[in-house]
Amino acid sequence: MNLAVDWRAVSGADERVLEARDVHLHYGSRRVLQAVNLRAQPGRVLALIGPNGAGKSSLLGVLAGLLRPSLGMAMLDGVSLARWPAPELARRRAMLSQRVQLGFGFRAEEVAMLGRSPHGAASPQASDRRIVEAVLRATGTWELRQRNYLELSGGEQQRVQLARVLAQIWDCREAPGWLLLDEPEAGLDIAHQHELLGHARQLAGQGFGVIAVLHELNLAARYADDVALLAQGRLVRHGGRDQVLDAQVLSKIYGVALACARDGEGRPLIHAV
Amino acid sequence: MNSIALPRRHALSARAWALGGLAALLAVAAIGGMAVGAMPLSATQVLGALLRWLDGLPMQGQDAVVLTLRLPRVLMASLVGAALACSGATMQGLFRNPLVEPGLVGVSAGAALGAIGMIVLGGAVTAVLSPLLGSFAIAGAAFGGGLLATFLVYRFGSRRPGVATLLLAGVAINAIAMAGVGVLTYLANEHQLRDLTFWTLGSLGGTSWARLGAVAPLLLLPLLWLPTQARALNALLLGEREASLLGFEPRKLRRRLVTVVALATGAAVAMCGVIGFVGLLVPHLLRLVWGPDHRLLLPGSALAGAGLMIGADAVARVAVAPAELPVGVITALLGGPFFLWLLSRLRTGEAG
Amino acid sequence: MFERSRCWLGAVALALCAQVAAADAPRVVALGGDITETVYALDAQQSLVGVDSTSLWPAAARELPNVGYVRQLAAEGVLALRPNLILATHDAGPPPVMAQLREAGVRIELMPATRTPEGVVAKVREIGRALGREAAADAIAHRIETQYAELSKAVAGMKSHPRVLFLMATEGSPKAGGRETAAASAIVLAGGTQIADGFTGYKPVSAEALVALAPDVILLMRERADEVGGVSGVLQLPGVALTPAGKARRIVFVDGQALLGFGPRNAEHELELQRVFAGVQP
Repeated sequence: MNLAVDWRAVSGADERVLEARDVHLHYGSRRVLQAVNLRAQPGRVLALIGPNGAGKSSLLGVLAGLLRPSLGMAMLDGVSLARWPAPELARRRAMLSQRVQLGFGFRAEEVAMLGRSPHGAASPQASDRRIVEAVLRATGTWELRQRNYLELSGGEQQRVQLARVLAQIWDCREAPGWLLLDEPEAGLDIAHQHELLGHARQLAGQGFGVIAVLHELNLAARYADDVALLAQGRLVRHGGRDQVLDAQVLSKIYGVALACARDGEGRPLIHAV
Repeated sequence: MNSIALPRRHALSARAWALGGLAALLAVAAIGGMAVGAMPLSATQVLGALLRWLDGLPMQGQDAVVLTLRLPRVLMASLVGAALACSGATMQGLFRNPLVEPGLVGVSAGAALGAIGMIVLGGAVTAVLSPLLGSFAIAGAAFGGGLLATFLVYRFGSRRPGVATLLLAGVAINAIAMAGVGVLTYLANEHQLRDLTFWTLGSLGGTSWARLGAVAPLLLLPLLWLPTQARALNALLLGEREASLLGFEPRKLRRRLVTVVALATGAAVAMCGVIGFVGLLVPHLLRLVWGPDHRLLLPGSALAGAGLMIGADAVARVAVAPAELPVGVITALLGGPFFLWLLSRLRTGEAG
Repeated sequence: MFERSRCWLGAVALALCAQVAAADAPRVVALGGDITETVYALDAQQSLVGVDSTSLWPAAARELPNVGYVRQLAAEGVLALRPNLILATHDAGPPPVMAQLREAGVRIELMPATRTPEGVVAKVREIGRALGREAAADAIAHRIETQYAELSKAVAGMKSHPRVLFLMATEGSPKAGGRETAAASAIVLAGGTQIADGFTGYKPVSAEALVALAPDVILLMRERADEVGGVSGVLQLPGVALTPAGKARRIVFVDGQALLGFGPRNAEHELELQRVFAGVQP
């Protein structure tokens, strides 16, 4: 197994990283993550890829502060996540989980407004309403805003949840906000998959940090700046997209023969042989 | 979890209108509640009595009936109804299930066990105390039983995150408490049997200023605190994981909410017996009409629950005058069919 | 506030009684079947304005306003009848309501529980005194005392005391009257042997237990005779047919209110019962 390649960004904002430092995660005797060291830079999209059971979602959970590592720690801006007050952390990072279950008939705009909860106001302010409008438009759900959430299709609900998550960090000014996505492409048709990741790229362009667990290698190939490859709880490779998406390494990790072509724009295109 | 949606008008910031409307209805219900009874009075007499009391003027005519018998009773009904309905709304949010009622955490069953235990076995205790204090002994035992049951449910039920184990623990403790009640029912003599039956049916009879004062803080403080948790409950509807990500602390929240609900429901049940349906029906109904936002649901449930309780108690006092029906019977009789009627009028939304 | 409520409840009574004072007619609420019986026996029923749900005799009593079960009264309901006297059994309640009635200034006379001849006589005299009908009460007391004297003489002369069981036929197993019930006192007074003394109160007994108890006579309330289907219905209850009482068809329906209420009619019904017991061959 090759050692992970640790690669630093050239641009500034070196301290404003979200990182996992020597993270181990055990559940009883089951080792989910082992000695993971990972740094994510704001302004870039980092894709976490790997076979099933590699620990990608768990790593994302640790980086979000949801899961407490058994050893090591996750840190934001140099401070351990465990020491961050929950509301403050919620204003800096937002995570779109897999399968958010909401069984109550809120209107779509009310669901998006829930994302403004960490911002303290007892009642929605004008600024909150502006932000909700912005995120709804950004996710293409503005027309759905008065509809009952339960009556939307799965994909529409997914996008409304994304709007909520974006609303959490939309106005993050003093420091870069972080958007964490856990297999966001699940349940979306191909058009919306690309739309969602397109937004993620846009946000990265605006200075946000984006970390996405992606199942689909070609989405990672197309939208990620950096890629981290996990297998069996270990970080196998971490670096630029082109460096990590190497056909030989991927074939070995995934256990199937893969080849890497190039598309019209020069981006890698991975396919089975 | 399914939910049923009504075509709603654009509520927006009409929250104030909605709550104001409910408050006005409550005021009308209160005046009405003080006017009806075995000795019928007019609204003018009631208002006159209240105004004279507030101004410190001496009483006239039937003022005393209003002020010593009916006013504390209407206030008790309001507090009990509000506490039960608001607790019900809280529990439905905490468990993410609109069919939950406050007794699920074991408080009603525990209170029943405590009260019935005191009725059947507490002869030694109640013999020593004066009869009046004896009735407080029953309420005290009920309150203690309710809190103990809730404590046990929480201990066993919070070993894992999420509310599934809490629910199961509630079921188990409820079963144990009911078994205990069964044994006590067997041991009871005829007098005790009737007493405990009536207690289980719930009644606001015998409400005086003293009894109201004993239980008012335990009902009022939760009513003031629970609506402040509206945002947190809204977030909890997304699940504990999402609520965590949104900056709330679900474990702490759960503990606080369960405790406060246990206090409020325990006090209500201890003083007035088991009054069902209010905690389930009122929040569920309001949610169908106004949506799941707790900032409207919690205060709205409190106001509506108070009004409903006043109405049910009025019926209880008038239906078989000069005798009295247990108010729990009325809430069940009113609640069930009305709910069925409402269900028949709605269209179902898609499954969640 | 709490101290003032006392004065105010007094004002309730004052306000209500002000309307009554002019007429000055006594307005009595009788709580307890035996107490109502006594009021009628004393010929004071014109003053009755309300009774409780156990006051079923005589039929006229059922026409009066019913304030509900004696242990679960409603303060306002009782006060609405504007009584100036409440005659109640000792366990009238609930206590907060009794307190409210007392604070309203209504005169409440509580009668102790009575299951003995002396108690019955004393109760008649008590009620007579409360209603101001001492003379009538004396006459009745005298009559009752004579009847009880006759009864104890007859009982003393009995060669054997039959084994008696009191049953209430309910869903499932019938319930037997154990120790400390009115039924037990009534049986012993009439010269029977109370055999179900392993428990107190009314408890379900299984068919085998019935057979093991082997009663010579089985008593039931006449008020429930139709429900249970008369003598033949009782004989069909599991186990009854195997008891001596069942075999000899000695199933007796007694007037529940009169006998078990231990009111003025108790004496004559005890005498009747004693005659039945005396006729039982061992």
